[in-house]
Amino acid sequence: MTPCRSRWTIGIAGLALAAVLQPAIAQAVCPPNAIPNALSGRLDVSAFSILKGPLLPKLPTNLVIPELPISPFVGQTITPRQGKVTFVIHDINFAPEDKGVRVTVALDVRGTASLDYQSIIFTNTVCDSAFSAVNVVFDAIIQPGVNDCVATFPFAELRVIVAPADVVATLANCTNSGSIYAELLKLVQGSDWLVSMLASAVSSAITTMLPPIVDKLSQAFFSTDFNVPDAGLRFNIVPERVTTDTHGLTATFAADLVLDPVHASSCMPIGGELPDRSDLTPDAPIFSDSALSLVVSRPLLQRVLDNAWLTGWLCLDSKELNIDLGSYVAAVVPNAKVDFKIMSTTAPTLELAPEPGRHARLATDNLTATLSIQIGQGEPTVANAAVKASIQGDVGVSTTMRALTLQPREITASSVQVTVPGASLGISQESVSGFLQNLVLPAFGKKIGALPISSSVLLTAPFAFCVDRIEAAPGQVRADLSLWPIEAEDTVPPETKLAHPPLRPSPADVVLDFASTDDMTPDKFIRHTVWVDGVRQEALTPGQRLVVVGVKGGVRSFKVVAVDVAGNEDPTPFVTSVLVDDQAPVITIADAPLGGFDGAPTTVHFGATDDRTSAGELTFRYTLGIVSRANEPDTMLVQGDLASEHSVSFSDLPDAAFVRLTVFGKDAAGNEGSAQAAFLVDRAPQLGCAAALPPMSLFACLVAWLAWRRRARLRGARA
Amino acid sequence: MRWNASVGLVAAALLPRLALAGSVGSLLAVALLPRLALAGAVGSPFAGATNANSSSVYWNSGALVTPPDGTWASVDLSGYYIGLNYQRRPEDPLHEPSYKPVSFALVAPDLAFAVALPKLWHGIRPIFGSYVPNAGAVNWPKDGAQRYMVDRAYIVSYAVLAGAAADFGPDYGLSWMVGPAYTQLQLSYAIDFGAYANGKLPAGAAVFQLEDPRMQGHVDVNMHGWSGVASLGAFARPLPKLKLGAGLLVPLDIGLAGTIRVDSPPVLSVVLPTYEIKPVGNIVLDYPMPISLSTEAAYAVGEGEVALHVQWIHRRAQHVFAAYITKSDPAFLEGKQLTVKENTDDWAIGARAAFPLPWPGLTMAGRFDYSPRYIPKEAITAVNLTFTLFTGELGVRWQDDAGHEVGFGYGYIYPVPIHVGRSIFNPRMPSESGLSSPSAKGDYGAQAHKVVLTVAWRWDTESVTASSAANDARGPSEASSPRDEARPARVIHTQGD
Repeated sequence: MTPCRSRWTIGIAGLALAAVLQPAIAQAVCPPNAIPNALSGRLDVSAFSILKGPLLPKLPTNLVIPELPISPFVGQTITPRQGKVTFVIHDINFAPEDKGVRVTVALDVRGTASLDYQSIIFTNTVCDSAFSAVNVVFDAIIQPGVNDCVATFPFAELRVIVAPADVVATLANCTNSGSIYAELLKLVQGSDWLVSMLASAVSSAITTMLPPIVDKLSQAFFSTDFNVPDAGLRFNIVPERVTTDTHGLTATFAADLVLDPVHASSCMPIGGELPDRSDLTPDAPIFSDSALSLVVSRPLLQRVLDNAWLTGWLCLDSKELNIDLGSYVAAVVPNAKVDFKIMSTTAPTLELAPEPGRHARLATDNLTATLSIQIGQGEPTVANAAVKASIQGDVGVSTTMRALTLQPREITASSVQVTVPGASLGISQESVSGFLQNLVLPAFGKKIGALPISSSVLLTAPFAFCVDRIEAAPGQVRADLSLWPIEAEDTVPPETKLAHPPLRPSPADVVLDFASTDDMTPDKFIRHTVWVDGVRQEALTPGQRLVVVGVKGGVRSFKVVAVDVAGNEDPTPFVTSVLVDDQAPVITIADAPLGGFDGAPTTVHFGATDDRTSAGELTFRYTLGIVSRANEPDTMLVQGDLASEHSVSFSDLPDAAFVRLTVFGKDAAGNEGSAQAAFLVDRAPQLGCAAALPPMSLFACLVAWLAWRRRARLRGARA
Repeated sequence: MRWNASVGLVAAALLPRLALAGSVGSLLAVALLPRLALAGAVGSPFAGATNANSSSVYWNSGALVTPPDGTWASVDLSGYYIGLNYQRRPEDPLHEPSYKPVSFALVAPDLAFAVALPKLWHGIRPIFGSYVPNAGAVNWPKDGAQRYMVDRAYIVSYAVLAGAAADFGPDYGLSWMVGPAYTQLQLSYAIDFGAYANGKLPAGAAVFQLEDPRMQGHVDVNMHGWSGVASLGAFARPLPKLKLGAGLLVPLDIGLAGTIRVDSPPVLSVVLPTYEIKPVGNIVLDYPMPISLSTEAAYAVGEGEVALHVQWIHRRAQHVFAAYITKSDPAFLEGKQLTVKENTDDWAIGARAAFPLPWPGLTMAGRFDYSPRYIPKEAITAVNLTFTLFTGELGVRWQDDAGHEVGFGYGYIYPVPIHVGRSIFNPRMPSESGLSSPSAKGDYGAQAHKVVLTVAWRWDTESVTASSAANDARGPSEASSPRDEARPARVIHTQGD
């Protein structure tokens, strides 16, 4: 029982965050082989409000006042000693403009200090002061820039607005007389020095503390998620350009990949070399209106693909996916273990949006298919096929599984050479192409469905990302993401709730749909942890649909715990037992045309039995197709559902067609069995003038003879 | 005759396709089976008093009423020369190679005898005999283009029947016979393991090229079984010059059982050294046998006789054969295996004439028969083969007054060549359909000749004389009829499979 595994824990969401926050990384070094304009990210204006949630608690709340003397009047100095300022930030807003990102912070300031007042008349007067300013506004423009691959965030047009009327100061415990106290108070309240001091404190706090916070967040993000661990890949991304406008902030990056030298894979090509892709240049990015959109250029994707291939990616291995191909040869070679592995021996070429509705097509000149047959404990026999082939697949987002998916759609072979130790077999490129397309691909597809290449829900401090949509254009792939702040103060666990009871019985791939809720985390960001018969599954499962594949038949115990983005786990797990039915119904054809069939309306009867579902609860469908003489799938004539009378009727079948009727029966768990009947439609058997009844035959033969005689005479006359 | 040797003739295939895709196991092939049309010119087993011969045991035992009372025996020895040829045509000329023509020739013997004993009670006399009710054989090249259908095969049955014939006066008679029949069948053909493996894969996912010699195995089937045959015969002479004969043959289906052995292609032992694919299993086949009805009307013309024949055989019963394989190891052969024949009912018509020669005791006879093909062209294969037949025969018979007879006949059989432009067989069809064999497109041709030697002997001439006298006393009789005087030649009939 293995849940869908993520082969790519790449973080596309992380990539997006990096695109926005990368400017904070100060240690960047321009990589020599980086692809310029490889990656672009855009934070929409609508998403800026989300930033303040995590930032607010991280902004400074107090500041020590420097003991710097000021001279409000000639001959007078006031030196704050042991002064402290406390900020109460009410709001912070980021608003992108053409000049940069305007940051506006609304706050109140409170502070205390011991004021050392020196003048010509009064010396060494010390008063305890308490002061406050309300409705202070910090307003500045952050003008992002890039210098030697390092992003800079200089503040410009910085203003701190403090209305004197909103400033209140009190003095107490003065060491001299009250008149002096009054004079000093007048000095404090009536001059700008206090306002300036507060403004300076606010400005210092924000401009000093904000960048490190961003830096910390992005560093944490890069160090944990922004890689492809299964393929041993790490990204090296440096900023090139950061611009703003009223629609948002856009960052463009150069990117390269770092190959983990210690990474090893069973699918790693031996002696593989990366081709020269210098002819590829990125297109201008096209962003969407989503909160966060990331555009990955084709050159970068191609480089990712090249490096991933070099480390063993692009490999469909039946062992890894626990696919049993032995069933296909069981009739001939019982108990044989058959493993199949397809990998490319040269770097594949990526084509994006090759046609409407398709995201990507991978083409490789050399696809190696390895078939291993092991009988008993003997040495396996390995057949190798070298194939020129292209693979076409779709990249998408599973909204139920909250996963990015790669679904192979089509494999076509243009040439093939098969070698088997000690023998050579006649296997054509058409046959290998058909085998790949019509057996291997469906086998993989049936088992894995859409192969999750990454969870679409990613938690990177301080945000959680969710990929909502993937779009491909010939020059780029765009991921549209939504983000949600992770509230550190969130300690309320979610509530695990089942949306509806699971199928009873359930198929071996058990699907549980949840409607878990949380006080703060949106539903699509909620994850679950699953135990089956007390065994915890590999990883948190994002989304509300849980699919546990390959559960053995019988009554199985499931325990599910919802987890919110803050990591809070529901202390009251949902526990249920699921009756798993891993056996398909047995369908038998009771009667059907045998051999040639005259094409008259007919009815085919069939029977069906199942180990857990009663006959009346079984559902049926059928397909009727024409069997080709070539190695190709049947041409579908008609298909549809059947009522439960265990029969299917049809008429008007095309003459001289090889017809295959396949009846499928599905049990309550969704397991489907099938049986088929095949025959030839032969409306007019070629008996010549012979027929079943002699009188008619005699007449027919007489007519045929007369016709032949007439033709012979005509030929003779013409001659 | 029962070696229906004709060419073309038939074929009732018998063997199971064994689901081994690409192979066919069908059965026999050229069945040399009898059809009325092939009946010899030297006499008729139907209409007749002294016309009875050994073939009467098969066609119309009612004719055995007609020999003069006493002990009478007849032996027919026939021989057939059959040549068959086949030029396979590719379904896809662009991607398939051309095929070399294949042919073979064989000589097939056939032996039958009939015995009628003296009447015991109320005109009832014991009769018995034997014949070959079912036979066929092919001997195609083992590496020929037809090898996935068949290379060598034969089926032969031999039946021994006993019963009684009864006359109801001088002009009517009935007979009935029953007896066991033993059948032996052997069949061998190539099996395309690649096609078989392909058949286990989804449509469009076939891996192996079809008919790759490196993936070729071989199948040998041996079966035998017992069954029974029953026959009813009738003879009537409603008018002095008109004789009618009819025979209904009811053979029981043959329950064949035996073994099937599959030898794998050598390449598999190289590729899979730890696995030996040499399955030997049991096979049973319920071989359906068709009911047949044969009739003849003979009319005396001067000193001679002319006759018309019509025959119908319910070959539709052999539309599809089903074999069952059990206890094979490994079990992949087990289960029901269909062989599709597509037979329709069969019929034949013919005309016969016999006239005395100027030399004492000699009669010359001739006949012409027509029998159309009863298998649609698209179902024709090298092992499921029948032709439309035109047969002409000439024969001469000598008979002395002591009841000794010797007859000789020669027949030329013209099988109408067949061009199969569309075949019902498609190796992409699932093996359980019975159609998963290589296409049998192509041109089929044949030639055939037959010779018949017939000898009859009568031991009790006094009884014969008495019987003839009695017949004369009862009215228009054989003895007084011109035809009887002429002692027209016998017809040696072949018999349907």
